[in-house]
Amino acid sequence: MILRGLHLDGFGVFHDFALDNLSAGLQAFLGPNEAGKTTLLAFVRRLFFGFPTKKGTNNQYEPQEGGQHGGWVTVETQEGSTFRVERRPGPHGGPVTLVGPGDSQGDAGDWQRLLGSATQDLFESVYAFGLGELQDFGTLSQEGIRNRIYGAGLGLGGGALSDVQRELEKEAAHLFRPSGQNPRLNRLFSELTQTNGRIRELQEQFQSYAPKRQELVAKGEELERKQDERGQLRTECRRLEALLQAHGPYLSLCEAEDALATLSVVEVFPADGTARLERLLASIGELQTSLDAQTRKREDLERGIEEMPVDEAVLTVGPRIESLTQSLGSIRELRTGLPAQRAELAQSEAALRDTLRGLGPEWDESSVLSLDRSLAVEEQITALGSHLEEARETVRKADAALTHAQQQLATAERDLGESRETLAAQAAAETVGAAEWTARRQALRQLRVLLPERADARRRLDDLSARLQDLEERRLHLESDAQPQVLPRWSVLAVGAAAVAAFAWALLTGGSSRFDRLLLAAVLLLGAAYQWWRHRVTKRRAGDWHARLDAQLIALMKRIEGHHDQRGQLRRTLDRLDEEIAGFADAAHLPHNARLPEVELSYAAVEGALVALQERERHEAVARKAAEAVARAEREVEERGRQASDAAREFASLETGWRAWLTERNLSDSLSPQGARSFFERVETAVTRLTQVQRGRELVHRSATDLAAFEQEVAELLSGLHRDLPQHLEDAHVLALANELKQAERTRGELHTARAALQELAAALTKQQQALTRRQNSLSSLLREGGAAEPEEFRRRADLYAQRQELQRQTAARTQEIRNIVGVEGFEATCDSLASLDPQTTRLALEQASERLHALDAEITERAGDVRSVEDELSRLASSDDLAELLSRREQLTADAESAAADWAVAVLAGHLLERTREVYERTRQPGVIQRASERFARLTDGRYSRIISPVGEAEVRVESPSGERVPLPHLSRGTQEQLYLSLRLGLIEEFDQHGESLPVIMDDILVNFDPRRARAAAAQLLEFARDRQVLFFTCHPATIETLRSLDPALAVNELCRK
Amino acid sequence: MTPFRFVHCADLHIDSPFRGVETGDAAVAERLRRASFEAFDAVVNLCLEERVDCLLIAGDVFDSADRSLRAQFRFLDQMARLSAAGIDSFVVHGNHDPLDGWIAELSYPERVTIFGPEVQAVPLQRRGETLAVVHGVSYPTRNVQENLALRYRADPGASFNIGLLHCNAGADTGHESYAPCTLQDLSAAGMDYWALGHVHRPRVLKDTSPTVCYPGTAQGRSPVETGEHGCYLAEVDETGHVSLCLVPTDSVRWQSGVVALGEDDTLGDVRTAVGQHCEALARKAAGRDLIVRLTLEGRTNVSRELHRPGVVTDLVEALRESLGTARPFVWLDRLTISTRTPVDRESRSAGQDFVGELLRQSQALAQSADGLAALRALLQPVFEHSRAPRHLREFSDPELAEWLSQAESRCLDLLVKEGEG
Repeated sequence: MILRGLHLDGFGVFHDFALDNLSAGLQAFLGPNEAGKTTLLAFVRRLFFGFPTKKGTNNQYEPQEGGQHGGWVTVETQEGSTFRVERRPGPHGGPVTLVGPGDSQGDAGDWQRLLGSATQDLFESVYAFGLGELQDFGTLSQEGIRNRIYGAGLGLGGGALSDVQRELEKEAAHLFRPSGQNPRLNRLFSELTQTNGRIRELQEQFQSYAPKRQELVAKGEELERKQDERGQLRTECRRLEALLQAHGPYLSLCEAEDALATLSVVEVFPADGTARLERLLASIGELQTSLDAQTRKREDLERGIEEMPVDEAVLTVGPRIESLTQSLGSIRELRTGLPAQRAELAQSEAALRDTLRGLGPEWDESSVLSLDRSLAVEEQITALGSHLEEARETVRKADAALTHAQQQLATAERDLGESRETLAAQAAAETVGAAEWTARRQALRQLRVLLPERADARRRLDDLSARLQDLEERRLHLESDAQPQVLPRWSVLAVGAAAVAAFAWALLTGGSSRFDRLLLAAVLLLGAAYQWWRHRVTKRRAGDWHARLDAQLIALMKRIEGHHDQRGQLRRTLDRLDEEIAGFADAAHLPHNARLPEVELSYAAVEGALVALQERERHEAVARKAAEAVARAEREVEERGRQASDAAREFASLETGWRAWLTERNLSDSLSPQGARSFFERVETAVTRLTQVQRGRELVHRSATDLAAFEQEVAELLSGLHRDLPQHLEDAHVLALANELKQAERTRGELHTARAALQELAAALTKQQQALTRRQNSLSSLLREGGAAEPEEFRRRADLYAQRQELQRQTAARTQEIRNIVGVEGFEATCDSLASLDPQTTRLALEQASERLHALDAEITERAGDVRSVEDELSRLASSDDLAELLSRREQLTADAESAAADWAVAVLAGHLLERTREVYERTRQPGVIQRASERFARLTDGRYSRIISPVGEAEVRVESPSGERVPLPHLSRGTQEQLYLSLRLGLIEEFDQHGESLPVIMDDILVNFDPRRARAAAAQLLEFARDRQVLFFTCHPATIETLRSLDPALAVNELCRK
Repeated sequence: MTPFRFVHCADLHIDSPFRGVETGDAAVAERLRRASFEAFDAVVNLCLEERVDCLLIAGDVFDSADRSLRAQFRFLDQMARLSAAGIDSFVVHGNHDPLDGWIAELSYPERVTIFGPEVQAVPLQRRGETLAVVHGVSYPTRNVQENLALRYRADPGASFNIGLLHCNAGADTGHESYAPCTLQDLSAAGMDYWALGHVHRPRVLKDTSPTVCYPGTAQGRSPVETGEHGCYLAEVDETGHVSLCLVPTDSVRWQSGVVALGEDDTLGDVRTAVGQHCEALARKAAGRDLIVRLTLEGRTNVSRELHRPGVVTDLVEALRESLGTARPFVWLDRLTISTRTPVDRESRSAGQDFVGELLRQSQALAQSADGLAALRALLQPVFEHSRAPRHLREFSDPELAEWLSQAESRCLDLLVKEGEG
């Protein structure tokens, strides 16, 4: 398949871009970076195989310069049919419009059929390759090389085949390894084995349920027997312990009974007799002693009473004396305080007089009291005073506002004057208007744009002229090229005629040399035939050459025409620019040939002038504002003056009202509200002082009266007691009377006390005598009760009685003790036993029984544990969930193993399928590829290496020299490796072309790293390779084009400009 | 005759595990373990609520091979409940719980009749009146090939004869052929009602004269036992006509289904589609827990992704997390991937590239007996491993062919770029 034309409607940087008349053979594309080579490649790929989806990071090559995304290509198949294939982006690669011979229509399916088995991946991995692949070929491992060689030809999209195989092997190994432990299936099998073992164990346990039940019954019976035996043994032990325990008390009992029998009988004796006896004897002694002491004391009291005298007269006036004594303190105070009271009174009266003077001559005590000092009057004063104060404040504020407004007015008039002066000064400096400056500036801006544009157009015109010249030269060169020679027909005819003549001559003449002549004729005939064949071949070659030349000339002329058109356009553009520049230069007052620096200077000056204009406008605005401010200030002054007058009138009115109020109350009308308040305060002070004076006068009068009464009372009292009256009565006289009264009272009290004590003493003596008599009677009674006449006898009998009591108590205690040990019912029998008891023997028997009991306890504990254990086991078996869990787990493991085994089977089978396919593939394809590649490699290396060796099934690739030396690839130089890869790639392409529709081959600057000699050799190979197919060769290096041209002057070169 | 009612159940398989379920979730596993118990509890509760006259159990109460003591005690407790309520129980043992299999020595309460190795006829009585005669025989051993139905003879003096038998009537090819018999054999015995067991799906073989039916298993336990399971509530009227009502007793239900994928579906779409399918199944399950197996089918670009290791596992885990924690739960047991990449196999197999050759090789292997034999040899290390489960060791040619087909798809997933058909 050959690409005859491309049309990029809208694709990346291309819009309405066409490349037509592409031919078979090598088509070169020269363009700098960013010229669109990669874009063109992408366009070809997408037109052929479809637009990718918008997912991921694919470059969609959206139209940047307009146009509908996509385009069309024209292709010619090997059969010679031409098709137009149009494709736009869309689902499934985009809709395809196929137009074939006779305008037959087709779709994507028809296009795919034309492509045959060619796929995008095949195209990219076989038919399209670039410099990068050549460069990194040398860095690959053996396996990588092999994959690159065959992987490309395998037409794989997912990566190297070995990577795929490794992935599958990894999958399989992750699932199973024959002697592994960690892979999934290995673990599952192991766990299944363990689970089955555990299940079997549990099931065997469940089978033991019935035997375990029987075992439980047997163990229960044995336990019961041992518990019975233990019970009996415990009873015997307790009996022996009791005997041993009761033996001691029993012996004590016997001793007590024997001792009791030997004592005299004292059946009855008073309880606590001895103690009572001793207490009675002691009590009688004490009483007698006390009686004697009391008697002595009574006699002393009687003597004392007779010796106490009492003053009755003083006692009679005692209350009066006391009263006087009590009031002595207050009388003393009165006597002391009276002078001070008088002095204070005098002061108060003086203060009052001062206060009344302060109020005025017309004011006295009665007028002060009659003045209305009520709260209502105070409030009136406050209200009126407040109103006056407010009015005064209002007047003050209005005056202040008026003054401020007048100041504002003065300031505004000053500002206005200054603004007018400034404007007057500025008006003299202007000469040119703002519109004029603006126009100049606009013109200068245009010049700043147009001047560089013109320079650029001139440069492009020069470039174009140079290229045109090149093309003309090339055309001349082509036209003057010598055409291939055609063998002339006449030479053919001549030889043919000679042959015929020779034949005729041979036939017509005879002789021995006829054969020679015939032979000669035959040779001439052969020669003629040969000449005829040569003639045909040279003629055909000449025809091809002419055709190629024509095609090249046509293409060249087309290009020359195109360049001429472009040059014409450029010239017109230049003319236009010159005109425009001249016009703008006039507008800017510059010469037509002004250059860019001059333009910049002029532009700066214009900018300055415009700034000055702006400044003037600003000052005019300021002057306007100042005039407005003056008008506002005048209005303000008028308003404030009016307000001040109103406030003053209001204040005068209030003041008149206040004066009238004062006059009504007989107050001075010159008083202010504050003065009125002060006046009323003074009146209050006067009233207070008047009250004080009145109180002082009353106090002085009362004090003098009380003193006189006291002295009178004292005199009367002394006279009544027949005492001498002193000249001056003093406090000491009253105090002396008080002392006498105290003394008389004390004496009387002591006498009374003594008499009372005497009575008490007499009563006590009588009581003690009675108590003594009772004690003596009690003693006699006790002695009789105890069967004794004398206390000594009584004591002896008491001892006897106590001994008997003690022995009886011991007997009772031991008996109770024995009963406590053996019980009431077993007492008699125990005593019988104890009578004949041998403690040692009994103790021994007890020890033996205890040992047996201890052992039995241990056995019973063990048996009970066994029984519990069996019961627990049975209960666990009956309710165990373990088996169910294990059975479920086994099912899970089995299901898991089935699933994993299936996955493993798929992985193993997939790996096997790949390997099998690879073997077949390599066996059938490899030889052809290697053969072709070897031939080309030999030519590329100038015969240094004669062939490439890659046995089927082996990983290593080697090259062989003519001498038979085999060199592995890593030992080759980088350049040679690249040549090798190039050879293999071209071999693969040729191999693929044998089996299907060949596609255009695309190479991207693959010669750039080759040295000139290798590059030339490779270029020659490429040209030869391109003889039978179409090769699109992209490069950005003119040297590469020159190399190709040197080998093929008729090389078709398409130039791409930077976009 | 006096009308009476009874419940007919079979194949309880109490405490036998679910087959083939991959349950990593402890709560779900516990639920499944309890399912068979709950199913039998539901049968007994039905008897008590409906106040039936008797319960007929037609074999395979539990699996002797499992030796579950817990199952037998549970069965004993339920029998005791029925006995206490005055309801008779008639039980025959089947191939999974034959008389010579391991059964703990437990004493059954009154009113429970366990039939022995010889056919017995036991009357069903209510307040002194004989309502019917129940005939039954238990498997003496696991493998009974005799036609036990031929031993049954109706009691001519009984108003209604019931035959209780665990057998394979009509040689049902889906089940092991124990005690095989035909419908004619059953009809000839003179019974009015055959209470059969062994087939796990409810089926009425004959409506009347006699009524012959399998109630199916009370709780489905394997992926093939999908849908509703339960027991029959039978009502016999005064004319002897039997009306049957299938009462579902399963608390966990198996379901399977297919989810079709589109060419441009993503993994997210797959997850959504599977989730919606499970939810739709759950809505039809009437409040039961579900075990679901789904198969993804279709030619889709996401097939590559689905076949990569770990992707399906992660997808299933994610779905289990969202569906398995709900109550009732939907447990996604398995998600089988039967998708294909949208590769035009026909045209690619004609190509001369590697993929074309691979497709041709795959076809050749599938059609060659020697090729399949060679593939079997490749799989020996796993399938004939000494520790592999018994039934894993046998796989059929169709299975092998399916694996080969999957292997081919796997190769295509790895080799063919997306978008390149």
